[in-house]
Amino acid sequence: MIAIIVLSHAHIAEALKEGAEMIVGDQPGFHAFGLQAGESPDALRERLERALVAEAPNEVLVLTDLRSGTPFNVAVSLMEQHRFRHLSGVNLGLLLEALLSRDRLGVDDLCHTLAEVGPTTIVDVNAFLEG
Amino acid sequence: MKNIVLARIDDRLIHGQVVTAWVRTVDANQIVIADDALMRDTFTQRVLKAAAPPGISLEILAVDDAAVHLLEDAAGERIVLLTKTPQAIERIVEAGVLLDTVILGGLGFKQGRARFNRNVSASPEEIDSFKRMLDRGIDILYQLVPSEVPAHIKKLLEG
Repeated sequence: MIAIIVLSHAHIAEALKEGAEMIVGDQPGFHAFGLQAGESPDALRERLERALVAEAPNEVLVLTDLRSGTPFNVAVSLMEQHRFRHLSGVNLGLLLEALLSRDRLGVDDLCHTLAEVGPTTIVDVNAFLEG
Repeated sequence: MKNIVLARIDDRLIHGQVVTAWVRTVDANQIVIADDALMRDTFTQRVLKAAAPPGISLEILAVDDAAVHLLEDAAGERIVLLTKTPQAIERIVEAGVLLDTVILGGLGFKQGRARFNRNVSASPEEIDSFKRMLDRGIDILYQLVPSEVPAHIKKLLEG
């Protein structure tokens, strides 16, 4: 199964993991690392690299919280040496879709699916209820 | 009788991507929600209709009407039956609908319910209903999402 690693600023990654597992139960091959205030990006890079090594040879999807933010840059810095897919702009809906689809898709198809689902995770609820 | 591909107890009913994952797994084309209280709540009905996965028809029916609907002749439906409580499923079974297996998703904690795990709490009346269905030979399995290994509810009830 595809391993999923969420990288974020502060506690967002751990909180997303906790929120997702509240809905879909405890998940194997699911990691969450946050860059804490005052922490060096190298510390986050080390944690990510250790998880990538631990998950090999499984396919890996890394989800980061913000395009061009430090967690994003940390993931990008490892994309040459390590083989994984990296999607930025994670939210709870996208993360759930990844967790619920990862056992039936390869990592490339999973990324295509997530890229399609992503925009639908943002909803104008008033318009949604008007149907 | 119509083809029920999944009977599920979950007090969150259509819970976004969770229901979508189930619908995909069992290849359903219709969701039937059986719930008496919902019949008086048109706003929640509207919310549920908006939340239903695309391409899936949704029937929100009183429990007795749901049983009648399910007992009608099949016309290609592949139905996910959703209820908030075990008693609603039990009434549908009592009305003559045959079910081998019921999947228990979530029953949230509230006053009068004892907690069994992070996602399941049940009142004494609900536990009795589960037990009566088990006595009828219906398998009741706790399974939040399709990828999770189902756990027999007997273990959960006996702690």
